[in-house]
Amino acid sequence: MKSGGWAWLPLAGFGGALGLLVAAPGLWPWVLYPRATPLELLAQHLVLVGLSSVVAVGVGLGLGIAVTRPWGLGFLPLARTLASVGQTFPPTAVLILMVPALGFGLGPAWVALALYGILPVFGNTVEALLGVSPATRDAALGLGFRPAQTLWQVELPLSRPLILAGIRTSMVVNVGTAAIGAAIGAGGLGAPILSGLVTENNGYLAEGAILAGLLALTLDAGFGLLGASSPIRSKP
Amino acid sequence: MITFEGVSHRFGDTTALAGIDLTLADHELCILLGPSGSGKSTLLRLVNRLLEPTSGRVLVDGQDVRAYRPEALRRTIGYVIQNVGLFPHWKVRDNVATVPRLLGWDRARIRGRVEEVLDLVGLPDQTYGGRYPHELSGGEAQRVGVARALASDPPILLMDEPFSAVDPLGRHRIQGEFLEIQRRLKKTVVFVTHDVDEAVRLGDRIALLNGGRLVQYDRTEVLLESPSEAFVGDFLGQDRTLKRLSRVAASTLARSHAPSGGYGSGVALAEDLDLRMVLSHFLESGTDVVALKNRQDRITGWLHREDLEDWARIGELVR
Repeated sequence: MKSGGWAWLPLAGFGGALGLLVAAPGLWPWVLYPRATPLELLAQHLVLVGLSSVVAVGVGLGLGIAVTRPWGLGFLPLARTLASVGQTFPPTAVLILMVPALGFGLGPAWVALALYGILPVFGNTVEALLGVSPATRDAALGLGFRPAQTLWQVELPLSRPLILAGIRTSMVVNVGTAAIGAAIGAGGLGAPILSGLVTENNGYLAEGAILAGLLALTLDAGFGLLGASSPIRSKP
Repeated sequence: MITFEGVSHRFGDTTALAGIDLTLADHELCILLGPSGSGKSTLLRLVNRLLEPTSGRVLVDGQDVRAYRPEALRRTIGYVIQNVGLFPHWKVRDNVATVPRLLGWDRARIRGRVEEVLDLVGLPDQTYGGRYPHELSGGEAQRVGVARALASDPPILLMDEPFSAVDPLGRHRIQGEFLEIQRRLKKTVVFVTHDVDEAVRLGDRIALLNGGRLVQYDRTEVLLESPSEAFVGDFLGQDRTLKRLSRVAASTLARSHAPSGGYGSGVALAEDLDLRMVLSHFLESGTDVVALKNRQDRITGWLHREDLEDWARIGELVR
């Protein structure tokens, strides 16, 4: 990770493989899932993951910031308890529970993924913000930062590595969970996997699994790169 | 001028401060001294509104501090704390530039000022400006902390045990350097410490607190000479006469002629040495007069042991 030249390798490797397999379906040595091209499946999957992650990151960050402000500290114990209880639900259970509540389709899957994705972002945001040293916080206040300036210029930059790690976990897990979303009719890379399971077609199954795996690895490598460049330094 | 008028502060059931009346004069270094839990830090934090008094008022230059927005007030008051609290993600020069940036100075002015204050604390921008806090020693970090507090040239400086985390040798040095800076800048300094030696060395005046109560407030010499109650004497220590001696330069008691019949020790001491050091020399050498020399090694006078002892006994009469 230290030498800039090689840090790109994982991202280039996984991303390149994913791109190639999607752009040139002829490379696959077996018959593919017929109802959608790999590109379409990947696009559906990305929309599902992307939209739910945007919400998850926004809500997780926002809640994490809120319960670490002086006016929100009262909610911190409750929020932490809810978050750790929430984390014990398997993602599949969350997805399946959406069906009686919201029915089948893209919407419920999207809601479930967003809900489940909040937890790692929230947890890491809270730990990171609480981890900023009291002396640093005291100095910022005493020198005349407004609360919002303390947050933006001091607390968030110092919390960046840990928050990024939370977003990384959230999104990588989300890619996998979204594949299960096909079970409730959300489409995406889970569709060939499910179809492969039902029809005992290992080709379909492998197609979905390989693409989803590569997508997760690509995302993970991308975050690795973000985290590797200047962990806690920033310009004022 | 900083005035506390009947200031009390309570945290829940505990009373941190009880009815403090105190006025700190401009351009003086006032020490808030006391054991832990005496309320000295609380008193300091009332000045820049990091805490608010439960009752009473705090005035800066006759104006109630509650008349200002807290942030605006704090930007006009320098603040140095024990654990330095440098921003770890910013370089030294960005740390020092903090308050000027908050005040909206232009880039060129900030850069010039940063170089100026870094020079003042002996850490030239060329060498140190580009470093990150984790690349500094404890003493260097605290110097940067002082530079950051001085950056916008505030008239008031609040210092909360600023040097107590520095090792003893480094602490003595940084105290000396800070005294030099203070002699030049003449800030109104409020300095919290529990270290009596530090208080005696730095303080123009000392406010001694105990259990949230102001016990005695006087010029440092007066406090050492005439403690108002037993606690003051106990806290300052049995050796407070020696501490008094440590504040006075040998030259103040020098006579211009050599004594008849006294025995010199054959060496000359620097005239700016403090009287405690001179006494130590007398005890060591068994003599009762010593020559004093200036920096050019010229003899400027003689100090007699009897003069020193008289001064120690009845400081006020001699002065």
